[in-house]
Amino acid sequence: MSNSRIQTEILLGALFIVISSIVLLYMGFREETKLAESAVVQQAQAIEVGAGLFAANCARCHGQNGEGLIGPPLNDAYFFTDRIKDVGWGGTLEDYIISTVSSGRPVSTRPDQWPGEGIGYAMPAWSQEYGGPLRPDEIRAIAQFILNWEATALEQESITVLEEPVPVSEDPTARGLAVFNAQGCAACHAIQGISSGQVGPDLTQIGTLAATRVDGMSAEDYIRESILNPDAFIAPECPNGECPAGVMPPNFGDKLSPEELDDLVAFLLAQE
Amino acid sequence: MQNGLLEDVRNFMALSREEKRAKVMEAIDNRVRIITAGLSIKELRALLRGAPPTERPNPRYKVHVTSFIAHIRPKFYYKASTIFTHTFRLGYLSTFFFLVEIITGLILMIYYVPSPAEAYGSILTIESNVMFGELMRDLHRLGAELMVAFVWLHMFRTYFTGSYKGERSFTWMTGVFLLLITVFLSFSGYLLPWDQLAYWAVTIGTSMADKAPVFGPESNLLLRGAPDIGAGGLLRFYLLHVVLLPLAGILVLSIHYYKVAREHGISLPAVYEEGVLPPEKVKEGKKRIDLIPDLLTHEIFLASLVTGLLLLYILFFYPGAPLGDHANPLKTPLDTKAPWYFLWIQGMLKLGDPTWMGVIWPTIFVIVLIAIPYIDRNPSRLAKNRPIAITWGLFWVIFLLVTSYMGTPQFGIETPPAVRIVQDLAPEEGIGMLRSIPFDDLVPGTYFVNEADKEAMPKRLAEFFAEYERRVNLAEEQGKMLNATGMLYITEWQKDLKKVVMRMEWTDPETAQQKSFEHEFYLHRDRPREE
Repeated sequence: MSNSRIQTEILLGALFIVISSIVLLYMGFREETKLAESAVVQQAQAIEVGAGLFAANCARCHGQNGEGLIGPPLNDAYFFTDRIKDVGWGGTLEDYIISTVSSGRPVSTRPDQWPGEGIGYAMPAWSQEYGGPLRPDEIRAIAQFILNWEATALEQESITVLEEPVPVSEDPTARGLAVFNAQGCAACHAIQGISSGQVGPDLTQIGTLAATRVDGMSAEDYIRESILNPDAFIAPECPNGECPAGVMPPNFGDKLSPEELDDLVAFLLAQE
Repeated sequence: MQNGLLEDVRNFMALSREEKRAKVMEAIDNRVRIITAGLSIKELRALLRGAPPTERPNPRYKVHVTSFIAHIRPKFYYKASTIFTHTFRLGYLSTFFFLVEIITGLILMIYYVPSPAEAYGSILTIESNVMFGELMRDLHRLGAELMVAFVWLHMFRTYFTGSYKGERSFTWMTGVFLLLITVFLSFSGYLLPWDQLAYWAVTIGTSMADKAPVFGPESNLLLRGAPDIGAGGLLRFYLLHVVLLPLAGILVLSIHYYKVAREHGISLPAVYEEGVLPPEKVKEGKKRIDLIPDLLTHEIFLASLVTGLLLLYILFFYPGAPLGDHANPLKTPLDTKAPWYFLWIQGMLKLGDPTWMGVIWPTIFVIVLIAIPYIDRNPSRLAKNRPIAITWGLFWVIFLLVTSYMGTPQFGIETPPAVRIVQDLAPEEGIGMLRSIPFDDLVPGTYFVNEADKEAMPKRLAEFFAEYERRVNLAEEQGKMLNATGMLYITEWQKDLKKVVMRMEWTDPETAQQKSFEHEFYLHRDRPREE
């Protein structure tokens, strides 16, 4: 090799060492900010994952927007200000959420208001450590999602949730299914393959059973009455033993439009 | 003794100034000689200037005898073997990246936890809570891909220059083992992040092992530690990746390099050896290029060049080492694909029975690869004397490219049209068009395909919606979805969180049934919007 080749290589080599050092120095200066940004992004992604898991697992008892159905609300001021004090929890709200979701609630702490599923437990244990379906990181994601309600709960921000348009289906049974899900019926009633509520009677075969419940009443009339006037007739059997009176909301007549009611009845009649 | 020392000091102080200086310089020079195994200060300066040795015998060779590390290096290369277009420095680059991987790997090992419960979280910690964590991870990922690439290219170069022939056949075999070690190092490392990409790629890979004849299920169990990949599998892959394969790699590399550098030398281009070039050129090509200083300077130069380019690339162009969603054994992602160096196997698997395509044929390929020096009896290394070998090599290159293309998810796998549309616009792994729309451009509302007013939408939302419309209309035109309608629903859901639903309804062309498909997405203001 020639004299000049070595010198060129030494020069270029030194140049690239300088370039590498500058790049590393620059990265070093930026590193703190970058780490903080990464943490924010990871938090955002945890909330997104938590949102999906909440909708799939928690919404049927706590409501789509955390407003509470048979389980207590998680999006109100009480939850964020007084709840852990009232319960006597010594740690953070985040730990409270993770603990409750992981190990469940064998007995409701407010049984008159929030009976929960009532099948031996009020709230199931969700963590895989206790036999549930969720991983610890999934439970932490759900906690981040729930904690994100703080701003709206304490009215620091306001958001508007638009009503999701129901699919315009030609088939009344399909539309009825959408009503069944949207109105929270799934929280209390089980239909095989659709829902697993354990509070009210199982509706998997209500289409055929409805005609046998009250003498002289057709299946369709029975179902219609059960929705509009729940306490008129208490079904004989519920997953937990006797069917509780005064639990099913009596105001579906106001909440549902006539078309929605027809669709819901058609759907339930089809469950045979 | 004391007297002797005192006397020496007195004698020293009695000398003249020049004599004192000479003595001190001599002492320093001796130190330098000891440190550099025989090179004086004068010699060092001659080295850096590129001048010939200042002493006889040539002191630059001594270090090869006295130093362990230098003993495996050759004293010199022949000039012709250093021609850039002969080797492209591919062997050097492969080794360089192996070193990059070892160093970055040792650093990452401090933070990584090889258990399914903690692996993913430890990667998140590396990226958000460890200084230069992301850089280490990016270097490790990029280094791995480059190492695999350079090892493959090095093998092809060696094949096409016929450098496996004659006495080099054993070296070639060690090279094939190094190729296998490299590929399995990369594959075992692939599982470690424990995300969907990793988990399912390795499930497919080990399922191929399951299909091996005779010992298939046992080898699958051995790799996984259990019928499904779980804690046992992750630990075994981790130990393979950080202990067994690196040790095997270092051992075989040492054998390989010793044979290349000390026993046979890097091959010369065939034209120098087979009477093609005139004798003066051959003599020129056989000139010696010493390790010290020429080759060493060149190697250090290459190292700093590649390091600089690597860092610049990571800073400006590299999107980052990927990390998908947490591994979910219950949910197979739609477009699972193998790492790019295994796409050819995935392509082959689409051709037929997994035992043949996934196990037997690849094994035959490896055996043939090892046996090439014994199958090819042609003593000539010149390309024009080896038409069969060259054609065979080119066939292999094309075969690998074609099967790799076939291994990509879009090839040969039918997905229902609505599912495909959603997956293309908002892929399960990755970002895609929907998720890259700026948060404030996601204006709440319900938008129907072919009805909504795109002019009223912010630009990025309008672009997305136009693409959505185009895909739905295309499916209609192609007769895959009849009377197709599409809807996009966007609402605020929480502070800085919006819910988006894409729903399509259509009549199935074959069964005339009404069908619908919908998917909901939750998008946060601070989520990443660029790859």
